[in-house]
Amino acid sequence: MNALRALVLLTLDGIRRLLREGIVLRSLTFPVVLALFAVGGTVIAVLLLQPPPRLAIPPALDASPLAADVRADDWEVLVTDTPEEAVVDGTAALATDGTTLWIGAGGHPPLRLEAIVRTHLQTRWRPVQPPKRRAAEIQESEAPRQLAVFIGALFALYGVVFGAGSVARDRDEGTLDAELSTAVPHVVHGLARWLAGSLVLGGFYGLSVALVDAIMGVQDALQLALAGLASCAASTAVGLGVIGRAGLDRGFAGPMSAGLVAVFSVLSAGLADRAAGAYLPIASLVVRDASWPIPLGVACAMGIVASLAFARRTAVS
Amino acid sequence: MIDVQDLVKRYRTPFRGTITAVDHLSFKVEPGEVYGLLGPNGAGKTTTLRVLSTLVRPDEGTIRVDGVDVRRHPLEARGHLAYVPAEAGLPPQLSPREVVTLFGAIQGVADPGKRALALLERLDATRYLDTPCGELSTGMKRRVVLARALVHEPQVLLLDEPTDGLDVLGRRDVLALVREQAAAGRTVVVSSHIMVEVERVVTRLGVVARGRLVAEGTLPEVLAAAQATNLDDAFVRLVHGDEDSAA
Repeated sequence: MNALRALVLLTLDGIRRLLREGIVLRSLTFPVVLALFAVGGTVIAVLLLQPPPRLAIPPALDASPLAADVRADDWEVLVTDTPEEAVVDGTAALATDGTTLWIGAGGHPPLRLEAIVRTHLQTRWRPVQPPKRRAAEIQESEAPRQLAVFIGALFALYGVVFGAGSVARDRDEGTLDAELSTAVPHVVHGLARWLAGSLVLGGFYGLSVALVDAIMGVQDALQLALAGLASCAASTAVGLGVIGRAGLDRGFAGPMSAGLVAVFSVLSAGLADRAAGAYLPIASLVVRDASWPIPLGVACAMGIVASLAFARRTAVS
Repeated sequence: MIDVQDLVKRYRTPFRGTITAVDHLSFKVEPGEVYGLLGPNGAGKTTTLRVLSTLVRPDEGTIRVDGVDVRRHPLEARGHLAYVPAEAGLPPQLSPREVVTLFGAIQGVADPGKRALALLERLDATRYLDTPCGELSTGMKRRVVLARALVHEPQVLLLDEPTDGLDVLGRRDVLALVREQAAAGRTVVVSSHIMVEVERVVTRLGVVARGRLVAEGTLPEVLAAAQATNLDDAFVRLVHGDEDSAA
């Protein structure tokens, strides 16, 4: 009971210490903020640099009053034998052959242009959604998810730093020996470090996914956030496991590099074999429709093993 | 009390082979005593204290802290002791109140917040109760480190170079605290290489060189054994004498 109480207290202490470190907070919030700024900036740039909507018409309509009025209203007219295809390939926002109006873009300018065309045609009209657009739309909606996955991969690498750093930091600050000489089992100190790192990383990853989802819409956002939690927990366990007692005999850089390589390898394994990757933490991040309970269970097992390794190394120095 | 019998600790190093840091060291410290562990750098003082605090596993010997065998029951032994390493630090993000309260809470102290406040008041650290430890002076950090060590009222106190880096006032306060702890019936072991401090605070002392105890007793007994009139001379003769005999 005392060990459980100590575990809770040490975990909360670890979380508190992490959240009070400016560099940690910046490293956790900057990826999503910078990514969203980049996406927002791109959208604004595209809107600003977007050419005015063009109307595609066949040569027969080039000398018509419609073309003259459209040009008089400062719109561009594209004369082509296949006006419908101009809408499909995106070179024109609207197209007409005199009887049918094709609309390929929304927004205010295309609607103004459409009003001019409709007034001139004096006939019934029907907007047609070109079939190829659907495929393009589906491809576009993958982008927010990919962005969230990239941030998750970055957080997985952070996990190694958090796990290894939680021990190295205390050794450098001179608090590790004081902690380990208290009447608390060493495995509890390891578990508390793993839990604190995993919860802080996983929590911030969940917030990152929620932010991307709120702004751009992420498919299966909850599943991705939970896969990210499993990934953060596993990579923190890797960091804790490789560093042991801050690598008193092996230094810091060597174990840290080994941990980063391990995490990157598992991530790559998920891309190489998606069926197997669906069951592995870190790898499941890049596997679409992967279930999260099994990876999270594996990550928890890794955390326990890493904590036991930490306790063992601190007992045999 | 502390009872160390035939303690041996060896380290395997990549270039120098096996090094015997502590070589069949034996000593006893009774409750209410301040035992000074003296020796030059690398004599094995810190290793001995780390073995006592269960941070290092000995290769041979029997070590009992407050009657508990530290090899067999390290967790139980840790409940009876507090170890203050020479380079003891504090988490820079936390305040003294938070640090001391946490250490009390994880070790099952009833009302750890109240106990932390009382200790920090005793150590004259209340002005900085809620200041992040990273912003404290060296002397103030040392006081907080001592408060952290004492929060669970350990029977055995192991202090490695407790006045290292402190100014005159800080040293005086720490030594007064050491005497106070012994007067309260606690067993205190202080490792140091500053003779004048040792003279002022210890009831008995042991001189360690090359991992072995070369002299032990009260201050007059050690002076007599070394045929010296002050501890500085005694220390030099004992340590050099041991090195000569080893050579």
